[in-house]
Parts: sequence; C-alpha cells; structure tokens
Amino acid sequence: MRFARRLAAVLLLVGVIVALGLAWGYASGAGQDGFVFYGREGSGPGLSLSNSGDLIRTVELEALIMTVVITISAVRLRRRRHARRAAPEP
Amino acid sequence: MEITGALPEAAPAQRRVPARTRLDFWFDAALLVAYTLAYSLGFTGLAIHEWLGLGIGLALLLHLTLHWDWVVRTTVKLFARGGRDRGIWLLNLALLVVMTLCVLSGVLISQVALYQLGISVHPGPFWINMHDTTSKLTLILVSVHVAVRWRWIASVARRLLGPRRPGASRGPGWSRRPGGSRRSR
Repeated sequence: MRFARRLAAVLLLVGVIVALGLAWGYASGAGQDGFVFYGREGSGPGLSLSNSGDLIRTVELEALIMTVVITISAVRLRRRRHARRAAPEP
Repeated sequence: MEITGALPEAAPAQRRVPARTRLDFWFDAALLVAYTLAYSLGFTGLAIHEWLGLGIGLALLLHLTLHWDWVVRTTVKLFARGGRDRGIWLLNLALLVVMTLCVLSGVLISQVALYQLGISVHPGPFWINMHDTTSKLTLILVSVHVAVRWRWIASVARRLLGPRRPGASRGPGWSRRPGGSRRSR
C-alpha cells in the first residue's frame, strides 16, 4: 500500500514534467503531425552490435566525469578531516 | 534515517548486507549498465536503443519510488539551516527533469519501438534537438549522480564483492540507503 502511494506520487511528478515538456513542444510549434495508429507490422531497422568504439567512448566519458567528481569529493573530505583534527578540543 | 545494527559475528559477510541495500546496489548497477548501452547508439543499433530507453524510463519510475523517502525527507529539510543534501537534491531534480524529457522526446521520435507497437510518429526538429541535447546532459548528470555516492557504492561493493571475512563486523552508523545519511548524528 505504501509502495502504491509512493508510485502514485512519482507518476504524478513525472506526469507534470511530461505535460510541461509537451506544452513546451506545442508552444514551439513541434509535433503538429501527431501520432498515427496503423496496426502492428514488421520490426523495422534493428540490431547491430558492431561499433564497440561507441560504447568504449561512452564508458570513457562516464569514467572521466566520475573521476573528477570523486577526486574533488575525496580532497574535500580529506581537508575536512584535517581541519577537524587541527581544531582545538572544546 | 535508518541505522541497521550489527548481525551475529558468525554470519558470512554477504549476508550482513541488508536485502534492501542489495536490491538498491544491483538494481542501480543494472540501470547504469543499461543507460551506458542505450547511450551507445552506434553499438546497440536503433531497435535495442529504443527498447532499452523505454525500459530505462519504467525502471526510473521504480528507482524514484524506492527512494521516495529520501526525496520527501530532503525536500522537507531543504530550507532548513545547513541542509547537507541541498546540492544533491538539486542535481537529482535536474536529472529527473532532463531524463524525463529525454525519454519523452525519445518516444516521440521513435522509429522502431512505436512502429512495432503499431504507432507511427512524425516528429518535428524540436523533439530531435530536444533528444540530442537532453541525452548529452543526462550523460553528465548520471555520471555525477553516481559519483557523489561513491562512498556508499564503495562500502556496499566491498561487502558484496570483497573477500568474505567471517568475523568482520559492519560497524556502527552504517546506513542501508544510498539516499540516507551514512553516519548517525
């Protein structure tokens, strides 16, 4: 029950963001053609597990950003510890 | 804040990690892997990219629901003096907005997934540009979102993946929630 309440709150929040996004698109004149329902057919273009360079580039970018954030965080943590040690006893 | 007490000394290290922490850790790890794959469009191809994107959209609803406690608690404390998680709250809000817009624009410019569901879409350049911009922003925000919790991740990973030490104790003040405070105050 608690999970359902939380999920409802999350859906409401995400729904508000979606509505605002759609309103933004509408105000910008986007999506005027809308959706066309035609019934289920074939599968369209698909699988190509070939270009591993793309995946490697994504992982490198993530690793770079994470390394920067973790380094900054670790340096700040270390400084705080030093400052706490250096502070006189109350 | 939920602090879990130490379990009996003889229990294996992996069993000392609460089930909820294991769920958070593995679910979030799977989300990160799925996101990394989805971002690498050249690797996955359009079909996997779109279906993964839809799956990530649904998984994010579950992720947010699982951490709703943190959202409410931090939002209440947001304007209190010296709110520690204010920066992380803003980062997470930005990530929620950007990721939602990324999934929304992805759905609206979908060529495979919606086609397979029997829906044809004719998107304008607005949604294509929106998807391009938000996807780049999510890469930055997701990486920062993960990195700011590095101490929790390292702590849980050590317990889950490190060598088992039968006599090791988790020690006091260890929270089971990534969004929660790591130390008792």
